[in-house]
Amino acid sequence: MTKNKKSFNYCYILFLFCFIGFLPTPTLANESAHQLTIEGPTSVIKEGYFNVSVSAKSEQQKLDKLTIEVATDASFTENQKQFPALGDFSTISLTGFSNGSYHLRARAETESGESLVSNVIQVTVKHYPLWQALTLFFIGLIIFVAVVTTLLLLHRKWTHSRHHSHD
Amino acid sequence: MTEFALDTSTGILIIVLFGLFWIGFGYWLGRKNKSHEDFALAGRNVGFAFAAATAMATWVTSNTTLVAPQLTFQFGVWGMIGYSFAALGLILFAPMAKRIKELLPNGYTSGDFIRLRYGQFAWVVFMIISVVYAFGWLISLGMAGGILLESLTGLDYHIGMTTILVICVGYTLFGGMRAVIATDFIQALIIIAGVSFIAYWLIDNIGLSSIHENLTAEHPKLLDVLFPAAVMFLFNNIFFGLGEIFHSNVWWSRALSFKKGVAYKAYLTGGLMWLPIPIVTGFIALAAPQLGIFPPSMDMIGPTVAAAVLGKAGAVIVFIVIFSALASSLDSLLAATSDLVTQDIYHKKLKPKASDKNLMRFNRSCIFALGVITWLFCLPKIATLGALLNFAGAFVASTIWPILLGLYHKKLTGTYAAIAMAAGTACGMIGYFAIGFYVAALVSCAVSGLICAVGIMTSQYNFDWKQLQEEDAHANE
Amino acid sequence: MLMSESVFEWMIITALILSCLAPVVLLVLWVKDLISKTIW
Repeated sequence: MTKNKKSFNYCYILFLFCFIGFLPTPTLANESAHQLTIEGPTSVIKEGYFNVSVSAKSEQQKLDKLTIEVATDASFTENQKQFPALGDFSTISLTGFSNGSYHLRARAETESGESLVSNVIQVTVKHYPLWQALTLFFIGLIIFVAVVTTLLLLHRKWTHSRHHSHD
Repeated sequence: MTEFALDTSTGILIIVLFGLFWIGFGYWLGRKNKSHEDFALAGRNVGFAFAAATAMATWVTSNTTLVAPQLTFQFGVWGMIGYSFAALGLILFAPMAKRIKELLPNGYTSGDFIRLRYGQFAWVVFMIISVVYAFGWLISLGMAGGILLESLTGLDYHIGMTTILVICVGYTLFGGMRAVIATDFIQALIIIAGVSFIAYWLIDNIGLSSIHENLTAEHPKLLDVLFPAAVMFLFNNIFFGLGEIFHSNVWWSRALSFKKGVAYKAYLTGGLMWLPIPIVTGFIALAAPQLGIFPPSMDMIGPTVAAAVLGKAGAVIVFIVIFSALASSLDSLLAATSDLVTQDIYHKKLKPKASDKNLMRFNRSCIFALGVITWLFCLPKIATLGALLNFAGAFVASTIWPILLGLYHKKLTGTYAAIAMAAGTACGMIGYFAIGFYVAALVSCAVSGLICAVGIMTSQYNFDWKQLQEEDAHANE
Repeated sequence: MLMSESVFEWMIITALILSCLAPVVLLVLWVKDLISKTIW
């Protein structure tokens, strides 16, 4: 009885080792998919520009050819654009975006040429409504015209009165 | 760590050479200063050439060379066009400068005028606004110097910031207004030549149509003439600029330093010469997408593009241009703020019988003290201090109407002027925090204007312009 | 509404020409002041 139990225990232990041995493989695949982390703005962008920063999982990892890919769909097939980072910097300023929802991810290479991809983030750009912009613009214009007109009229009145007083 | 555009040693060499030259030049010019009037107002006799140059150069700050490209990178064509509108400050000040020279033939400062025209209460409000603005600007310039040196050459921020302050305080202290104005002339030439060269190189090597094509295809928003945020911010920024120039002793002291008949044309010419500069510097940023340049921080877009296309030569040009822009504004601020403190507080309040020599000595000590205080505030390198300058807009825009009406209209009393400035500032600040920075100056100017309008309509008062001269003559005994 | 290519080019080139004229104007004025001894 005891001998059977012992061999039964060994089987379980062997089975456990085999199972553990197979475990890392799927986990490793997930880690390499997110060797890079991209972070971007959390709120809606009202002016069409923003910064994103990319970090590698291990701090010592040097990133070559860091590029930000942008597309309007999650599978990165429509309106694709690519923006390279400057030098060794891992923060990139992006600008000139029109209204819309954009998906961004980072791509880089390690020193050994291994390709790294980051998670995908979503950035929504919604410019200030034009009516709001034009309202403030015209209010400003009216006050400005008032200032300029006042200045020019009063100045002219003064220079004319100077001429008359010299006569 | 990224490679810097310039070696630290090259950067130090340029700074040291400039420093020695400017301080030596300032010392040489200072020997001509025999009286306080010579020191503070260059003998009230500056000719057209220097006058036009100083008006233009002083208004070219590090902002014009760094922020104009940044705004263009963010807002496209409106970024640079909107920025150019700040030239209106100089241009609209031209008739006022002429009036100031007429009204205050013996005057020294903007504070003088407010005190004589409006009385004590308005003077206190005005001085608070002036000091807040002056220190905000001094500190942001000091910081910009350190940051510039650090990002271009890797030189430690504290060393760079200290060096630039020492140089500017040095030649201003030795030479006074003459040194400020003469160095402005040279700095104006350097700035214009530098930015024009970089822009020309870009046009010649990359081409305008190529840049336009790239923008149309990849970043069409940057060519949008109806860019909402830019359209919305425009007049707020214009009022900020108008408020800066109308109230600040930097511009009043210049008007009083110029020869009779020069002030109007100097400010007009200076303004027109300044107008294309933000477009030329801003344009540099529009070439960035074409060149695949997307910097880590948008405020470095100008120098980054210049260094990328011209290499080391570009970095040197950028370095010299920005240093000149910084110095030309820093020296003016130091001199003008010191004049304000010397004349308004020391002379008029504390020691009315102070001798000319005393005043000169006090003015010099004041320049030194201002330098030290600025240095202390710049030490912590608070990046958000740049944002602090943003709500100076609420402060300065409230002075536009009181100053304009004070110069030309007899009816506005001191009480109304003071309330207009205080209420304008308060409402502007409320607007800043409740809505956004882009309404601060607008609200401030509007509220201030309304109060002034009420003041004039209900007024029985008539100010006698001669009061501005009589007291000056008395004070100069 | 996008800025057209011709307006864009015209704007930049005009600005560049004006900014190149500025140092010339300043130097001419300075020489004039030097000759008539009205620098300051």
